[in-house]
Amino acid sequence: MQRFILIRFVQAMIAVLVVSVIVFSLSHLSGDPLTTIMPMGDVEPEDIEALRAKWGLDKPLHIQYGLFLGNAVRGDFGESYAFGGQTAMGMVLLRFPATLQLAGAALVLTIIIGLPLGVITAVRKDGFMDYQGKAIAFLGQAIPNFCLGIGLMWFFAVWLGWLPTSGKGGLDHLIMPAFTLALFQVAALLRLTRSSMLEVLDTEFIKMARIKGIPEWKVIWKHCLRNAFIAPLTYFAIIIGSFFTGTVVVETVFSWPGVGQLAVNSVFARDFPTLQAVVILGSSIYIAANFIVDIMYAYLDPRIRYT
Amino acid sequence: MSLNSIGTDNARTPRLMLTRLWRRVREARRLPLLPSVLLLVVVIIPAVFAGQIAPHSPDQGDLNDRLLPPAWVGETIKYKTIVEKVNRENRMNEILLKDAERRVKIGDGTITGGGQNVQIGDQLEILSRKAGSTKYLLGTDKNGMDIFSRLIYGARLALVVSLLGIVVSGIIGSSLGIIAGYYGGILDAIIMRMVDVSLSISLVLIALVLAAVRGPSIENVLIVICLFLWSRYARLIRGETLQLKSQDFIARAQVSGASNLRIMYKHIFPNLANTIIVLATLQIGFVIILEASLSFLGAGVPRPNPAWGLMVADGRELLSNAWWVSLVPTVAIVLTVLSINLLGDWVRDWLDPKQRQI
Repeated sequence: MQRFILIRFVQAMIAVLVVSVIVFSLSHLSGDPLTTIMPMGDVEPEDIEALRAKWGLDKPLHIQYGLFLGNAVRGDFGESYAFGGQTAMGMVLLRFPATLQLAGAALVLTIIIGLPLGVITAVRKDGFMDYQGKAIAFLGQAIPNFCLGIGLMWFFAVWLGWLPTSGKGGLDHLIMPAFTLALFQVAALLRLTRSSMLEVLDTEFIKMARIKGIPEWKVIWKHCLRNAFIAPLTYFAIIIGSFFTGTVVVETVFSWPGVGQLAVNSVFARDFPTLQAVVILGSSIYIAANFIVDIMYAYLDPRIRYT
Repeated sequence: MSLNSIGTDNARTPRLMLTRLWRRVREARRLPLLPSVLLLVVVIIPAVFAGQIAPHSPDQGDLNDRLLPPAWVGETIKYKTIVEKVNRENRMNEILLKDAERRVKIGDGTITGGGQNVQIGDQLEILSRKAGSTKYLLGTDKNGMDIFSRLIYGARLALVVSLLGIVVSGIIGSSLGIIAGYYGGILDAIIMRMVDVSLSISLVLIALVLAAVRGPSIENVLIVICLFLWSRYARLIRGETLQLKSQDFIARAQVSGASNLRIMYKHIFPNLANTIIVLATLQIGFVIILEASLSFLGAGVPRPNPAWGLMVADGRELLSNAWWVSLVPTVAIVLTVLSINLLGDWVRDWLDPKQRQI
């Protein structure tokens, strides 16, 4: 087990390193960052050289990468090009609570919609509800989230006028973005819960519980769900990881002032330090989530041992 | 049995009728195939013959015809009260006397009736949106470009990008998967670790970096698709190859002196063709969504190309005035992906019933 965790951990670290190499080398493909941020002509050559030395741009590439990595580990991605005086990390941290709020709301929605639906569809297998559930699962995984967002925005905000179109504000601003972010994972959680419930419903101890005369709702929601919950539980890490990359699209649709919107804005502003910070942090969360899932699976199901 | 008793037959109780209806629907599980094939034909044929079918240019618009609604939408008329001073809260329904006089005098066609009396307190009838015409079936966007034509050319773009991405990543991924499964050992370990890394990296974020560096382009989308999609093929194909490798016919081929390359190409690959086709069909929907999402973010296909994602993004700000600009491509994306996914499920059941878990 320890060996397995160690191997997976090393793999996760390699993945983070690969991301950092990709990000670093791509950023340097674009040419000298100084020429992109300095106004041409009215800057003294000495000033440019001084800045070059200060940022370490005069050193060979592999040393620059070492410096970049060393600073990145300490959370220092340099100054934002677009917002002078702000550090890239500071920009990300400023936007982080909004993203966390959105992801948290989406997680709550995923659980309160996906889990009960998964249980009901399993209990009523091949029934009316089961087919509804299948339709939801199918739609949820086929509708791109920006399409869902635009559709919801038009219907509820423009047509009915019930909800605000975009931006951050009270609870009513949160409903549509959170639902948009959640739907894909609702579908995934529904399918997972359903299949795992079906397995548990078929076991001896559930039959025993029924024979003992325990009320059916108690058998299902207490005895059965508690055992069936293990597989979906490990999936939560994946859900959280995917939310942090899904927010890029959802925040752009709803003008939600979070990290995802910051990433898209920094693409247009060619603000590389900020983009690097977002991408490396986002990827790290995603990779960490994957890592946690693997460990949890292996812990809960001893048959899983890859190497 | 008398006629009266039929009315009390159990089959007539709503609950049972519902159950029977439901059984019918279940038996016709394959039913969605027909609409989805139809829809795909409706998407693919115009996409192939876009030049002949599209009534207008996909990237050049007539600025006189900006934001025209679809053909079936009538004109919108607004009534504005003429006032001395426009109230901030009520400025949608009020117009300054001076402005009203000017607009009536010019006669720009926006004042439709009763416009001659310009006095304070009178109502002015203003044409705020022209009716749709058959010239632009699905309306126009803010540059006066025909949405119907852009939709057709956009279908071509989406299909070309996704098919190209799937074929290239399929070739790379399947080859690596067969090599990893066939040779095993250190080669297998290296390839599979690469797969693990590739699967744990977030596509959208890397695409954003690529777009920031090189500017948005179709090549970027293809690079991102290929960099990350190959691993899905490689993982599945490796597992299948491992199973095949232990079978007798491979051993016999080895004994008869066939080279490794020949065994992989002539004996293993044909046995995996179905699996590869199934996986490829199941990926098309995913790739179309990916391309559309990247274009929507401005990190995919650049303007003024008629990409569906870009069209949705163009209309996002106009949703309250001109819903068709983004809703029409949204509906196109959703219907296309839905029908492709249904078709993919069907292809899977048909070609590869044992692989239901893909």
